[in-house]
Parts: sequence; structure tokens; C-alpha cells
Amino acid sequence: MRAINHSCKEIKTKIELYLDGELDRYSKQEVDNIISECPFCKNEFENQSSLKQIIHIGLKRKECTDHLKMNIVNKIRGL
Amino acid sequence: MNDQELFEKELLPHADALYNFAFHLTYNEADANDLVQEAYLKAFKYIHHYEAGTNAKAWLFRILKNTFINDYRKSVKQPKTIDYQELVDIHMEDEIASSHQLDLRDDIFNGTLGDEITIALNSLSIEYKTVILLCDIEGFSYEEISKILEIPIGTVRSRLHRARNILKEKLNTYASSMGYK
Repeated sequence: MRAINHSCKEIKTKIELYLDGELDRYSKQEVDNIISECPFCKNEFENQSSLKQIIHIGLKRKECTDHLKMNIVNKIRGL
Repeated sequence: MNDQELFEKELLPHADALYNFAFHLTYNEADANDLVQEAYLKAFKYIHHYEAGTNAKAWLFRILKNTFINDYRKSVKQPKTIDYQELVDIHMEDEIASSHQLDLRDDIFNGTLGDEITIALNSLSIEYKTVILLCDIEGFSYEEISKILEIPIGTVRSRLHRARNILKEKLNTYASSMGYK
């Protein structure tokens, strides 16, 4: 089992917040500095980033049909 | 601007995002159609609560979520609880998730992984699937998700973390089956 020291564990949590756009500028800079020096944190950053990208790009999106949009508009106009 | 004009200008443009959310909640086109239509009719009914120029998308998503929980889910489906298997110790999940490399980006870009993502996402419990859809697909902030789902921000964070660990594990299984290490 891989040993994770306290600092790496803390950064691991921050990486998730970083990638979700939830960190302030100061904390982002802190993460940037650490991942440029710590291979474990860098690897963690790449893995989390990859997963987020894969979900965002890979999920098949469904669009509302024009027919449904027209139905909605017609119902609203008829109210 | 009257109510109809406001509706068509600020609310209707979010129909595609709402439909995508509804589809992944119900996994059924007819149900998604009903859910989106019902949510829009409710939005129009309560349009006096909406302030022009504010966050229309988050407001609509909240209405759709409530419509899903209050109407659709109670009358059509049995409430789905979080699967017992998913309630494993979070540290164990983290260890398992950390022990694998996950780089399937090439598969995504050459179009061979989309089905796996969709299947993995749709196998999640509704609580986990919802936060992933709102955060990773729609790009809502934690605060917006907290308001849409009416749960604390800390719960948004923990659900996202768990949901991603589960997805990572499912995709790692796929990666292994495809010969990735």
C-alpha cells in the first residue's frame, strides 16, 4: 500500500477543488508550486484532470428536439 | 418585456442543457420530454419569482430537480437509495483509485470510450450521478449545486469525491479489460 504523507494527502484534496474551479488564486498557486516539485502530487493532478476531461468529453449528450421546444412555446403562449 | 418574452429570451435557451440533465436522470426519452415540459410550465407559472438577468440556468435546474423528486420519481419510479456496495470506507476507495493510472484520453478522442462513460455514469446512484452532471457536464460551481440540490456545500464536495472514485474504479476495470495497465 502506498504511503501518502500528510502534505500529499492535503494537496490531493485541493487538486479536486482546483480542477473544479473552487480555489482562490493563492491556493491555486500553492498547488501549482507543489505539483511542479512533487512527482506524487503531479501524478495525482494528471489522473484527476484526466478523469474530469474524460467525463466531460465522453458523456453522450442529448439535445431537446425542436418539436419539444415548439410544444413548450405553444403551451406557454396558450396560457 | 412581458412574461412570455422573458420566458423565450432567458429561459428557453437552456432547453438543451435541461433536456440532457432530464435524460440522464430518467434514462428514457419520453420521460425526459415530460420532465422538461413540466419544469418549463412550472417555471412560467412562477416566473414572477425569477429576476431577469440572474442565474436562469441554475433556477431552471432547481425546478427540474424538484419536479423529478416530487412528481416523477414518486409516481413513476421507486426511490433509489445509495447502493450498499458504494458505502465502503472512503479511504479504501482512495487507495484503490490511487493505485491505478487512468489515461484513457486517446480512447476519448478517437471516439471509442463514449459508451463506457455513459454506462458508468448511469450505473451510479441518483445522488452521485446528479452532482457529476451538474459539476463536470454543466460546469456549475459548488455553491450553485448546493442551491440547486438544496444540500450543504460540504455534501456536494463529498458526493463528488465519492462519485469520482466510483467512476474511476469502473473505468479502470474497462481500461484493464482493454489491455491498459
